[in-house]
Amino acid sequence: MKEKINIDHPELRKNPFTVPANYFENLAEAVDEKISYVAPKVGWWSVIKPQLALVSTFCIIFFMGYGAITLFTPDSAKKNSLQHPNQLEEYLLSSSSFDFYDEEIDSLTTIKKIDPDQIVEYLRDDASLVYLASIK
Amino acid sequence: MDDKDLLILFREEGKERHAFDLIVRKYSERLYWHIKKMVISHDDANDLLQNTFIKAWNALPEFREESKLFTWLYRIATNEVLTFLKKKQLRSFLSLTDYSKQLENVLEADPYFNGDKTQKALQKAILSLPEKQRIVFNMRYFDELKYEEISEILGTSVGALKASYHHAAKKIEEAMQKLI
Repeated sequence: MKEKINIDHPELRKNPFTVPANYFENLAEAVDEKISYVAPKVGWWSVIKPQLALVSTFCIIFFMGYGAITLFTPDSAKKNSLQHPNQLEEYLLSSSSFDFYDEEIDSLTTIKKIDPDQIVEYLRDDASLVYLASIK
Repeated sequence: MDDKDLLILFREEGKERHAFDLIVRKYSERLYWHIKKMVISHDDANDLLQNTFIKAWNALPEFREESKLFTWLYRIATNEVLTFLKKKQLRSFLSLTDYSKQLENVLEADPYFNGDKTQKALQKAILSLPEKQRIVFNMRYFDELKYEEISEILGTSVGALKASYHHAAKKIEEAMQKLI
């Protein structure tokens, strides 16, 4: 039959654990070191800097993507050309004047000088037309 | 130097560090064993003890001496231990392993355990108790604190503490009977 355990036995109350050598002697120094360490104050700029960098990166990526899509999508290029016909014309003329040379286009960009005698002659021959045009 | 003198010294300008060093030297051993018996691992006990003293250092200027200095330090240490155990239990719950079993394994592998078979059985039996009952048992059985002091530290009535201790003692005797 097993002997009844009595936990009030003085031997059982003894501390069965030990500590590493000089642990308690070194502990006060370790605590003192930790107390001495004052964490450096973190400024608002150091907090905001990485977040700002991240936001800027996203913005750059977004605008690059947007730009690429806008420039290289055929539909939008067509839309742009419809909105600005003069700009397109200028662009085409400057890029390759030979390929797009046309008498009609040429007439828009060059100013012909008309002899004043020719104008007088025209008005004299077609005076009836001028008269008709002036009648309300 | 008694606690009153230590606190007077702490309040003198330029003497805080020296006074606190004396407080650490006076109470580190008692607090260490209190923590160690709860967490078993020396490394954990060391971390918790250092945290206890750092918290005490930060709060000591506001200490109003409504309780004894050592009772106050015990309370900080106990709170540190309970918070630590809660975190550990949550982790062991998530990993589906029994935390008291984990502590038993730590005890088995502890290089700083120097006791015999019966003492190991006693420690294992204590580890099977709920943590608050364990704290009460350790404070009364090993640290030999009065019920009034334990009541001040834990904020529990003396009657409840007495009942808790006797329940714990009975459970431990039964557990040890099976273990030996």
